[in-house]
Amino acid sequence: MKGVKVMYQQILEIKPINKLDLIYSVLNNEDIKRLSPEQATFILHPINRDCFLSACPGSGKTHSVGIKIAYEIQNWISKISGIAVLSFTKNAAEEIKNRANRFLGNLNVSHPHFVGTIDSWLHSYIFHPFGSVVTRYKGAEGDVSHKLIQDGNHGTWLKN
Amino acid sequence: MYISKLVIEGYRCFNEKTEIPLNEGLTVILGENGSGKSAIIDAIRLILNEDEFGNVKITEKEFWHSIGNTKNEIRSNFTIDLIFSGLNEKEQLAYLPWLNPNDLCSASLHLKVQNKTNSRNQYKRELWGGNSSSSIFEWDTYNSIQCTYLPPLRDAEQRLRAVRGSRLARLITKMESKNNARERLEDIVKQNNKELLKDELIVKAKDNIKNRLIESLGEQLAQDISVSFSETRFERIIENLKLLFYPLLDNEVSVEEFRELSENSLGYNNLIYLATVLAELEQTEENELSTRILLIEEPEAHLHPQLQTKLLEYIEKQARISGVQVIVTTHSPIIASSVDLNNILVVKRTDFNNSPTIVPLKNVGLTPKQKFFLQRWMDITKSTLLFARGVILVEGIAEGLVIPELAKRVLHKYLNSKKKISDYSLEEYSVSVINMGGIYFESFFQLFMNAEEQGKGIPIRCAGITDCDPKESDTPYVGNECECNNPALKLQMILKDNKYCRLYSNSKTFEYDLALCGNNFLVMVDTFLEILETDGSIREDFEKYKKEFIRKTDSEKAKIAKCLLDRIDNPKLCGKGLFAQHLAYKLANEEIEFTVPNYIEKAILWACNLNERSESNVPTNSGN
Repeated sequence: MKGVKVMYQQILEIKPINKLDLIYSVLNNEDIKRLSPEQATFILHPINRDCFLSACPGSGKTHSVGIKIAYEIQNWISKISGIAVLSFTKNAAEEIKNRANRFLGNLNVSHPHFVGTIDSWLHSYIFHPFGSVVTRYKGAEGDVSHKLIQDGNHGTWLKN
Repeated sequence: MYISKLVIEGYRCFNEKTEIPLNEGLTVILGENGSGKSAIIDAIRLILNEDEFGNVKITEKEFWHSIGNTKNEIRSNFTIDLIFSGLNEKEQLAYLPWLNPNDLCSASLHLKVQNKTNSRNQYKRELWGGNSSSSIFEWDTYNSIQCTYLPPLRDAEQRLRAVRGSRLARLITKMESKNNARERLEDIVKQNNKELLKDELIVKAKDNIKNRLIESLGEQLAQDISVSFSETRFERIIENLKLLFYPLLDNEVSVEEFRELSENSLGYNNLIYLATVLAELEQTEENELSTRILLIEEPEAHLHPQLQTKLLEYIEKQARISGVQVIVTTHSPIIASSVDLNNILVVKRTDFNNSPTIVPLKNVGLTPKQKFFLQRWMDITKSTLLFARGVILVEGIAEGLVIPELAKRVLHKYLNSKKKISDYSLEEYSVSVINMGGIYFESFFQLFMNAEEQGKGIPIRCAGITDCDPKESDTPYVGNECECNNPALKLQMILKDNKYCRLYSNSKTFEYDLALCGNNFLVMVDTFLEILETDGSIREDFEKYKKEFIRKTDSEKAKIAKCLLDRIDNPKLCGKGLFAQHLAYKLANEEIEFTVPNYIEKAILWACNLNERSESNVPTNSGN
């Protein structure tokens, strides 16, 4: 973590105009040049450190997030772990994905990354594979998928 | 990560749910033709979408259907499940939705195919990882599992030929991603193309054509033409590469000396093919996810015995070093005897409408010493033990030589047919006579004796034939049995009601008991006298015995038989092995009458699965 701190310090010290150059060198899109210094700082914020982005409507939050994702994906090495981008609505997830794709050239936001709603992420990676541990649901024909409507059995977990 | 278990239900010959355990490194699947070996391999190819197979349409024949049954049953679906074990931290992350919630080091993959077609005539397939079919299924994760298959009848020359998707092209494509050789190679070919085009002859040819075009069409309509040697795209370049061979390893040899693969032997071409595939598998090592599975059907194809052993040793080593899981099917006793018994799975089909039985030899309960002994014994004898449908165990070469001849007579008598004795044989019943070279019955019986419990023993009948071995001076006969000294005989009681193992014994020794049966003594004395080189008192004595034998009492006969046994056993005069050779030769003559002792008859019929009738209907012939 010490190394990360030093790097973070270095990013803070970069002059705003150089920040844009750095992002541009990765994404190579003319739109980059129109980013505000705050947006650039957000995009270069280390991915392994928490960040809370707050701004008024229409100020370009989604735009920044789209570029941020494109920037991180372009630099991504691992093939087994990825970035999960979670939103509250399908529309928002779709919007972020489209924007990131626009900056990614011939790359695409795809495996190992995930862009979707928080519900679908929980369902896909947590609830369905591992939910039966908590609900003790035995499943049918070797399949423990929880379904709302099931033959004769509505799942005891629904009552809780 | 490796496949630790394959579960098949309803696919091909697997009617009931069958679990097939697989090893981390090498698994060798043995079995006779039609036992279901290929169905196991194809099930893995189908669920892992192996290149040459994954896109092939499933047909109705893949669903289990009954044989010889008027009901004509057919399965409405089949399922194939893979259980993976030994997942490391990275793999647990990558295969997260596939994990077993109770054991994070294991994961599963499931395929279910319904026997219903849609409008495009395709069967409905469902594929999911882990315990829940509703969790996310990531195709990239799925595709990261590499499955390579080598078919049994390999046309190595065809596979290595310079065509699209050749093995060589695949290997080079895989290596390219690391080496950035694409531009370098394309440049070389472009450069060569240019050089060629400058050549006088080619320029002349090109101009000739061009002039004809202009002449016929006029300057306005004519097209321009050029000549090119070959395409400069990377994919096309590597597709045009081909392998050549030179019979010896010699770094000095120039390329012109190398020959086309069509001039090479089938066996060596197969080895080159295998080497290309193994090299391709190795290339993936640096990827982050590298679950690699290599399926080889009958690696023995086209190879002579020593090469078979060498190849398998190499594959075993590769499996260990580079972490590739290798699953091999074979009919070759040579391969079966050159791998560790723990790596062997025996597939037996006992009933056509039931799933084959899968017996991993590591589960039959061999002690380390028994395993070591069997392993050494297999290595020396290259035996067909594991491929038989029935086994007769004998102690020595004498029994090994004579019993197949006796079996013909037993089968002839039992089946009551008018055919000749020589029309029968143990081979017809796929029964092997196994010479153990000693009394190691326990080690061998261990392979079969627990077969009533699924997977704990090979479910075939194994009959042991042993000697009673009383004191050397004893001359037992019916009504005057002697005390036995053979330690193996305690097994007789233990195995009394065993479904798969029996031990049969006599009153003294193989030759002695043969001699006391019917008029065998006369045939055996003749055989002995043929071998005997001297014309002295021994010959006279036996000529006399021959004349008097029939009139003697049982106790006198026993003494004479002992006398014959002593002479046969004397290596200076005859020797048991040589005697057995001559006796077997005599027995091949159908006109010579010979009675088979009861204990041998029982053993043979039992091993051939014919015993039920024999014990009630066929009169016994033991003694006099």
